[in-house]
Amino acid sequence: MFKNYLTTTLRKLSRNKAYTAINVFGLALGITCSLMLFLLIKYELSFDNFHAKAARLCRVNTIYVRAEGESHDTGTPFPFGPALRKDFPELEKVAMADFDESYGLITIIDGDKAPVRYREKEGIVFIEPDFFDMFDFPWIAGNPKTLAEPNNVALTEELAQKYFPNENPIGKRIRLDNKLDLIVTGVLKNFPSNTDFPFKLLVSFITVKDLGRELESWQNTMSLLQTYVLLPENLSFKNLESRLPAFLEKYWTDKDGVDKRIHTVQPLREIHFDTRYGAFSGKVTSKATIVALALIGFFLIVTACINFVNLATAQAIDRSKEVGVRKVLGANRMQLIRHFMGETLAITILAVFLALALNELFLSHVAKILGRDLSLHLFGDTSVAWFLLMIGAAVSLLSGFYPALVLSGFQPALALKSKNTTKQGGGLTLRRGLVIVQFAISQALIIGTLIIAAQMDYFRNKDLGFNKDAIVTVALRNRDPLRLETLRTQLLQNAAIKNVSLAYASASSGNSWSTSYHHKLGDHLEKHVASLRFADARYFETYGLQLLAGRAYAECDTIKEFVVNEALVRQLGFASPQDAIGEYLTFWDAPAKPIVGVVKNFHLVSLHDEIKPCLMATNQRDYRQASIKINFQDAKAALQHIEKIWNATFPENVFEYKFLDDTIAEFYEDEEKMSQLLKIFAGIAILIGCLGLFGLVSFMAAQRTKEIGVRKVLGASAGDILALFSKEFAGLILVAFLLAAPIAYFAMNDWLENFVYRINVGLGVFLSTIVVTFVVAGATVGYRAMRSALTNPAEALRYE
Amino acid sequence: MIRLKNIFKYYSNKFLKTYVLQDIDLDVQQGEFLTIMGPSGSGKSTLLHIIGMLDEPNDGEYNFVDQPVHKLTEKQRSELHKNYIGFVFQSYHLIDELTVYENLETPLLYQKVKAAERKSMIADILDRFQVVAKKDLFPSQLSGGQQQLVGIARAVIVSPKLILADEPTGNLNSAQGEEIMTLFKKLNSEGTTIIQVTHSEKNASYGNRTIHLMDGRIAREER
Repeated sequence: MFKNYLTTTLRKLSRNKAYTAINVFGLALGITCSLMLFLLIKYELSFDNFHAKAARLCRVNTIYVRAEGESHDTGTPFPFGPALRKDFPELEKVAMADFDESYGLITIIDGDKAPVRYREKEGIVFIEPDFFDMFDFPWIAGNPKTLAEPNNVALTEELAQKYFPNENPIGKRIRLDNKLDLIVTGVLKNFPSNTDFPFKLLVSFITVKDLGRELESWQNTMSLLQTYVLLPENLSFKNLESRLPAFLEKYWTDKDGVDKRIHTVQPLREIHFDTRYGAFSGKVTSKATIVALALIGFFLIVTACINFVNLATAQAIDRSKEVGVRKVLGANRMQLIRHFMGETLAITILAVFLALALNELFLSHVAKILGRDLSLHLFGDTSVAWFLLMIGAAVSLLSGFYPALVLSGFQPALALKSKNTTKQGGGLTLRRGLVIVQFAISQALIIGTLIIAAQMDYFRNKDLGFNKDAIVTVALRNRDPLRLETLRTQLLQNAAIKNVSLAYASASSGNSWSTSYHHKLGDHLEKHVASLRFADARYFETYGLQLLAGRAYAECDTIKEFVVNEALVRQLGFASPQDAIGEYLTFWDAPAKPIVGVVKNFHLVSLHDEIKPCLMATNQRDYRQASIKINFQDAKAALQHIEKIWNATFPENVFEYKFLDDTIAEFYEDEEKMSQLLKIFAGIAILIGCLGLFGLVSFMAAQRTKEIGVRKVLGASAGDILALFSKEFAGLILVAFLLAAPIAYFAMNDWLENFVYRINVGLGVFLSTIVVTFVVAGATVGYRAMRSALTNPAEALRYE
Repeated sequence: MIRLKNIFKYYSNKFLKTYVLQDIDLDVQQGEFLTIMGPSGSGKSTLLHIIGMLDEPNDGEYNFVDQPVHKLTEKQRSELHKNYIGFVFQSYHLIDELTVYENLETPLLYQKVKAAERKSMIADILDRFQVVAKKDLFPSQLSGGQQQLVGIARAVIVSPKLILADEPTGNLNSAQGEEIMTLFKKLNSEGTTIIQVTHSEKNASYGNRTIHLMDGRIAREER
């Protein structure tokens, strides 16, 4: 019996090649997308779930409660860990990790050989040995205990191989940032990609002392200096959290009264999904994003299934005879349902295999766009096999059941007479409904894509309050005033370089530095918090900052005068910039200095956040970066010159430069990825939708052959016939649009809420969406409708 | 074997009922060769479909080998029909995607006949109908007469007690038609009950009883 079905099925499929191709391809696309999304979601959910003690691990975070709102920080002060260990002996383990991005120059010192230099962009961490009793990052050689001693370092296999190819790295020496001489005491297995601890070079935590950091102060937290805790079995996260306020009260004695600080305990399992905080990897993905991705995957499968139903029921007319014959020959309804479900299963299996092939071809590209390490192990990973099995079963059921029900329900007497199965071919209403759902999904995705694209465009083109064009930034590796002055003069000698400014950070920067300061009102001091931006006097010119009142400060090595932004003027309570000139401010217990100028607000950080009050001053010891304005026509010469001078100034370092444009673009990397992903999926949804539309219009054309014939005999032109079809589909698309537009509008408004600076969703997005759908659908319908319209009416009527 | 009593069949369209069959009473005995004749639209085919359980009457009683068909469930009807009735159509209705062999096999599959037995039954019927050479061809590769031959072979293969033929020679030329009718005559003489619908007096002459339908009623009967 099964063989008989299979033969009919395979012959039927190979006979109707177009039908089969559309069906298999449409389904395969849907399955491919959902498979990719499945892999992505699975990957995201797998972050740090491989630690045996994951359920008991947590991080202590800090929340700052300020007048302008709460700010979340992953950091804790240096003495936090030791104090925690002392006051909470019941905690199984406590480990601090200082992930420092600013260090990165590695010099390999190997006997008499010339030193070799490498630059490590990320992966350098100062870490306590207990970390390895908490987390499962296996050591291949050496012992974690060695990290209890200063100046010891452990490398991952990758780095060990890179620095000491084919040698035993243990006992070798490396130098970090020309400051620390370290001895390799261990080799770790490479850290997997699905961890928020992307460590490569692990220096003993105690070594931090040699870097002159403030180890005793409770005053500052740095987001990359974090404390991890392994709780004992019988202690809950909440319990620990509830005891932290008293603990903080006991130790934080040097507080300045402006900040209120709360410590929270965040379970390890939540770290990867809580965008308020963050992680060393910078790969935090919110649960909302994951749900959105899952929904997109689900909708794509649904559209593909709808397609299938549409095409299959459209084929019903052709199959009515077969159904009739089989019934006459003694088939009962169950047998026929099984037969048609079997056919669907065959198509689904074909589609699954095609999807696997498509996945093989495109997964690496998608992974690259997303910056995620996605791979498919069909045999190594049972969850993928299960997923495909479930998808296959669900698709076969979803898309096979209805057509099977319709087909098997044909009355043989009518089916055999080839009485047209208008009534039997499955309600046209239902099929219209399905097409509406498909188009609503496509249109919602298009609207989403357009809005994200518009917001991205806004990011690129929004006036940031300064001129970001043709600015190259390089790091300053040394604070020696003489060297810095030489660097500046030498750089300016080349005609391709227009201006050079030394500062803590570029005008828009991922690094922000906040501090509390005092406003001097007579004898009284008023406390506020502001962003600090130490920069030389050329900063204003280099970035084209606009002064609203007063003047730029004069060049000086130390803090002498202030320039503030409009937001700070408002913070001080002045109505006009002019009023703030001459006011005295002070911080860090230094003598008060006057405000000499006010600049127009410019975006200190990304557009995710609003412009905070900003305090600018000269202070050479905190200059970290040179911003170099170049002549863009002569960029090559400029860059060569910069490299030459920089290498001469900082001979023991590796030169690196970055265009400010690129730095700013990186602020929006996550959004860019999402936008790319949505573009792909919206495109595929439209494609699948069009395949379905093609199926529906084919069905209608077949069903209305007679009507069209009669109309043509009565004198209708090809244009009239086309209009007949177009009207129908225009209606469907409009209804779909009315469904999709509000849903997409509200969903996207929600997304836009993430940004303080955002576009207003205008009519244009919706107009474009409907135009795009009309054009694409029109092309699909037009082709099939044209063929009907041009049929010879005699032919159409012959069989009636 | 067949007993129809007060059979009505109509299509209702809002308030208007169009009667196809009105008050049909008909008895058919085992071994009869009955011909149903009548002009187009007189209800011949509908009557045949009702007898063959492909269609249901709106009213009336239908007893088939002493079973009240009008009271049976669809499954029971399907079982009855599968075991007792073979159908032959004007336009043959072979399954286009299957070869002659597979077409013949299909009813056996639905009857759950074992593979070995199927094989011998098909070999037997191919032989009997002299279409052995054609067994691997598809319907589209056969002439009309050959297709109808296969159609009948497919109806006969399950050894039905009753064959229902709806204008079996309607699409054939006279020589082919004669061949088919001779075959029916032979099957009848071997004991199969046959009911045919036809326009042709000549075909009717092969049978032993003829009823004439007019506007859904039995107008007259000849023996």
